[in-house]
Amino acid sequence: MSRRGAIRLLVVLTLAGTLAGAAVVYFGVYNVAATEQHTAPVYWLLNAALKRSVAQRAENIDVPPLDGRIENGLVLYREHCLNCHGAPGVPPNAFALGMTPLPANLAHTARTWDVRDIYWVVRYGIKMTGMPAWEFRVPDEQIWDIAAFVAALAHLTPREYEALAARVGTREGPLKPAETQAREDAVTPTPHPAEGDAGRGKKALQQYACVSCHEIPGVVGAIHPVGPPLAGMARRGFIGGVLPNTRANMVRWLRDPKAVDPDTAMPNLGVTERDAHDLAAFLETLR
Amino acid sequence: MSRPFLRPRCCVAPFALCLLAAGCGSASETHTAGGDAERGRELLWQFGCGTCHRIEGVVGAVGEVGPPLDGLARRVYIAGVLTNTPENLARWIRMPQDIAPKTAMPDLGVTEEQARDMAAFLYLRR
Amino acid sequence: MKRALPLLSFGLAACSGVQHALDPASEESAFIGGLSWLLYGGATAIFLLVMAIAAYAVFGPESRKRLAHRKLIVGGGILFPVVTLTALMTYAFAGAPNLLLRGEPALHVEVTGEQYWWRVRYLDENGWAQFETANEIVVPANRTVAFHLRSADVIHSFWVPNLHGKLDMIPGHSKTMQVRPTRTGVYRGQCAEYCGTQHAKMAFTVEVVNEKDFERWHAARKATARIPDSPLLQRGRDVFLSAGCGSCHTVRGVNESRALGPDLTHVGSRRTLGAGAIPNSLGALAGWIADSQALKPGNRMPAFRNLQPGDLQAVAAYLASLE
Repeated sequence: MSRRGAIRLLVVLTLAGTLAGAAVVYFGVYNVAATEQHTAPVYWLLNAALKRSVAQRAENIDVPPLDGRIENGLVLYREHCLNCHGAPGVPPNAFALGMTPLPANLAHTARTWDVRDIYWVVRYGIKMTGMPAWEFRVPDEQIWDIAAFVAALAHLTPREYEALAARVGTREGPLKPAETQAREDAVTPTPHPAEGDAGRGKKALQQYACVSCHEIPGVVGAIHPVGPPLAGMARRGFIGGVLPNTRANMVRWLRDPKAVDPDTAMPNLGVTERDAHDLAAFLETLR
Repeated sequence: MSRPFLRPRCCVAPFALCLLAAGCGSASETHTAGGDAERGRELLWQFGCGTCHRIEGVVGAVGEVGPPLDGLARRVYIAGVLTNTPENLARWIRMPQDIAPKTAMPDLGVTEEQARDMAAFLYLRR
Repeated sequence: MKRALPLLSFGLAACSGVQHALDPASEESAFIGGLSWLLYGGATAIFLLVMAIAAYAVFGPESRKRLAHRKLIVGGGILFPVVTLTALMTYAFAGAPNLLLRGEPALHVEVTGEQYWWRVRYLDENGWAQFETANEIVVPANRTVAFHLRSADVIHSFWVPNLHGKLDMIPGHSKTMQVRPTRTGVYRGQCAEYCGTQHAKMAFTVEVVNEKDFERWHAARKATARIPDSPLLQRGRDVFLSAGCGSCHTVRGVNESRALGPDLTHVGSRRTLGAGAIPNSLGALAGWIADSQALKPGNRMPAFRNLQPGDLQAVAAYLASLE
């Protein structure tokens, strides 16, 4: 091919690519609904880019002494972070469950991120994720308190968190999802088909933040090993290690794990009866 | 401030990250709970752990009663109630009933040293 | 040479073991083992001799022409095999009575192959069962033991290489194998006829002990089950009865005799569960009860997935206590 021919081809390809891109945007091909998780490649790309971006910028931050910051960090955490992120055994506020991406489970973050990264994210926020920047709202020292507390979450059991929170004495916690659940059950007298809808259940995994804590095969973004993996759940003998794995028990566990096992780190996420059946129906497909 | 188990760069995006961040060395930082992993493997077989748990590397460990133990080192909570540290794991293996009275996991009369060996092996399951 | 060393040691190590035909522990297997060695040794010698002659014929000096002689063809090709094979056959036939029934056995044990385990009954002199157990047989040394072999479903084959050859267990037939163990120890047996999906996990052991230990063991096995002496074990016994375990299994002294599954009167003292599938322990008992189908898919025991954690632990502890 001649040189001119090559240039012409390049120009044509560039134009075609631009037009195709414009068409994707104009015709609204990509669904921005928060109920739809990203496709797997997009999720991976965004996640990798996010981690690299934070790691690059946080690398050279000097960490001040972190001892003795945890209690103050807890107070600030409950004021600013708990609504979206929850805490060990404490669910996030209901609205946060509808976000995509879901606010991360920070006990997992504490194990996989460096404290510098945590500090950087709290201070500067993350675009298009719902994570706000606190730089202009919280003094720098307090941001370090929060980062220190988040890092400590790696070794805080639900019981220990409860005790610490009681000792520190903080403001009112978030709205209890159990209340929203009761409300929803009252408003929509749900005809819960006992068989459940596995397809709907798969979507509900995102909406009840199951994906924040469990590895689930075939679900994009469910890659965080906070609790046990759910692969093979249909054949698992016990739910949460305490209930024989039957449909009725699964619904009971999903709706209020704390009532079954007060020690569990799995919070009450305000799952309605119908959604619990749908979730259970999906879990029954994981053979 | 406790050290994180892994540096972030090694966890989420292995491909790009392994290429970009060379010296992030975390695999060698595995906690081994001061136990002998090889002996732990033998003990996991002898105590019948594999009848309830899937454990890669232990003969016949194909149980499905409890959760699989592959990737246990990365998990945040043990049995949903304890944070995942080598000490806690060994404690859980020794006396699950004391820690979570409702658990289906039986107390098998494991000694402290045996529990540490088992924990050492399980921590190799990344 | 360095490479040959491991091979050599492997070869030597392979001549002993808990499941090995060339490591005899009875008069019968000693005869079979001797016959085997004779065959291996003779065959090796003949093979080397033939190879040497062949090499001489191909590469040898001028004198090799003498090999092309009628006498060698007739002598080496016809006479030698006839004499050797006849001698071998005579030796084997002469020794064969060693493997048959000789005199009155001191102990009669009935072994029934079932998918996929071994029902073991110790019989009295009238042929009545004194007690039943499973998968683990104990016999006294230097006494003649008769194994009466039967099958409850398909063809199995009873084989303990250290003690005797294989003998098929055919449905509707009863065959007798006589063994006179000479050496104490634990020997592993294995079903040697494909009998279904879990054929590979259908093993058993024969433990040869001295006379005194055997009497003690026999008396202990005849006894009914241990009485539970703690609230946990009592709860375990209740669960055994209420959860349906007792519909297939017998614990003598606790429920009526049931013939479907293995007798569990002394299950706590067995070495393995599921006919050699897994080592026996409290944990293994609990796991087996909760989901035996994951461990040995296709065995006849259903998974008890509806047991509450406390009930599961209690029944496992109870069975483990039945020594």
